[in-house]
Amino acid sequence: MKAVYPIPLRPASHYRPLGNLALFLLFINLGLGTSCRSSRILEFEPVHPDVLQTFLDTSEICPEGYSLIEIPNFLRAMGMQENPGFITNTSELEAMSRFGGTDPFLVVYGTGNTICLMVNGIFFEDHSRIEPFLRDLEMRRRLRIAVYEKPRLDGTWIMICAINPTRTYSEAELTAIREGLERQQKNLKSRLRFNRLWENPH
Amino acid sequence: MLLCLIIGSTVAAELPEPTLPETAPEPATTRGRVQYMIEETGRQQERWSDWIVRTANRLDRFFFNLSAPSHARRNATFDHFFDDRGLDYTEQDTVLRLSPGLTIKDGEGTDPSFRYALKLHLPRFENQVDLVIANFARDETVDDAFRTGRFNDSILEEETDRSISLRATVRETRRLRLSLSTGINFRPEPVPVISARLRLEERDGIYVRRITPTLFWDERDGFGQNARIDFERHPTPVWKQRSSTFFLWSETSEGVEASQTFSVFHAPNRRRVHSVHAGATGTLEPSAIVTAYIVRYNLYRLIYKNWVYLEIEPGVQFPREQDWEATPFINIQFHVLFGAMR
Repeated sequence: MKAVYPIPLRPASHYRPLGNLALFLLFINLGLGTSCRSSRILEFEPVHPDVLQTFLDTSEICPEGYSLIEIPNFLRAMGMQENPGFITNTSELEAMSRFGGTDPFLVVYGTGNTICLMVNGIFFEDHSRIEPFLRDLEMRRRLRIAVYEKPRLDGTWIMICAINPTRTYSEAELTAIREGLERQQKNLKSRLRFNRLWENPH
Repeated sequence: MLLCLIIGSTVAAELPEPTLPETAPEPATTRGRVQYMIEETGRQQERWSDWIVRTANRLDRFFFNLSAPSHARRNATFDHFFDDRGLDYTEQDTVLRLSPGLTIKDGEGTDPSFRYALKLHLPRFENQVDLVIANFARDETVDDAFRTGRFNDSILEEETDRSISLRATVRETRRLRLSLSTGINFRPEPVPVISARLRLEERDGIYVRRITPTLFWDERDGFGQNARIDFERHPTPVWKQRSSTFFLWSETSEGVEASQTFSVFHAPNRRRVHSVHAGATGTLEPSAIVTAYIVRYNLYRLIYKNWVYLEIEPGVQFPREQDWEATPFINIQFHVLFGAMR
């Protein structure tokens, strides 16, 4: 089944300044762009609308001391109605669609206004598109991520659990995150593909 | 001005802090201390390179977000945790080049210099735009082939304290490349400059023919155009011979200027390039006059890891204004690179 996007997914170049227009747009927007910063959340009909509730009810990933946090500016920028929510930011939708991924969702955990852990889920209908995506992720050495795979009958969910690559986490936090990930892996019966959460931050 | 403020605030953000050594305390022996210093220098180079690449990403995202609709703008926090996976991480091409050097020229003594050039690659603009900040400017009135490693007898280049420019590749195919550059040279007053360069190349076996015309405009010196015609022969992968002819006309040139250079390059590996150049320069109009001959040897060599290069260039000039008297010179220059090294 194909994903239904009320927002037409156009080629990547659609939202990008094209070749000889680049300079023109750049300078025009230097003057005008900052005054047009209103943002809106686009309509989006995910193929798997139930996945967020299932994730919340089943995974029990939330590390001790953290909670789901609402940072309005961040959620708006990602085009999310709430946390957790589906991402409708078209730049991110395009990026994922280029890899063959759909229905990207995001779950944000932290304390106060500090984001400490995020889970980004992406659905792949075509299993053969997963490996190139994972290879690309693995090459991004800066990121502190653990990637899990959850096969389904109609495709596969990839879940990327990410911590802040430049923040120093306390031992208690790291333990809580580790336990949360273990619960998630056990409860969702997901398979760990690789884990670079514990490498030294750059 | 706005651009400078933006760049300034972005560059100032999250400057890497000087780090304490992660390894054992400083060794007591001299040899150990030297080794320690080398390793520490390498660590700092990595940290600054990482910071430069991150700064380039921030600027790229900032410029992109100015020109993107609100629902397509990138979020810095999300990209910090997950990266912008729409961008190919291998396309990063941002480099800061620091070039301390020394020129010893007969009759003119020793001339130390320090150059820097920061090329910020902006991949979100179709991988076609670079922002270049330097304390010198590319001088369109000087033939690249005749230019030596550190000096080119150009008044313009010496006058330019700093420059900032945007360079965009408008169209690129296997045979054609059209690029535009716009920016400001500070001499020290700001002078807007614009140039358009077309490169047409044709390969036929071991032979390459290339013509590169350029149109440029400078608010102070007006319009000009130049053209360079190269014929190359690549008898083996490590040897290259080249003949370069250069023509220039501008509102400030003395008629049509021209130069001719013959060069031989030997690159036994990626770490070392030797080249020998012999050429003449002068004017064609109003009358054909040779104003100088030059012979120079250039060694460009990687000397440490993949980020420190040494360039040594001895040569001799025979300028007409000094009655063709041989004027030897030597340029010695280090090039220290930070950023995304290939």
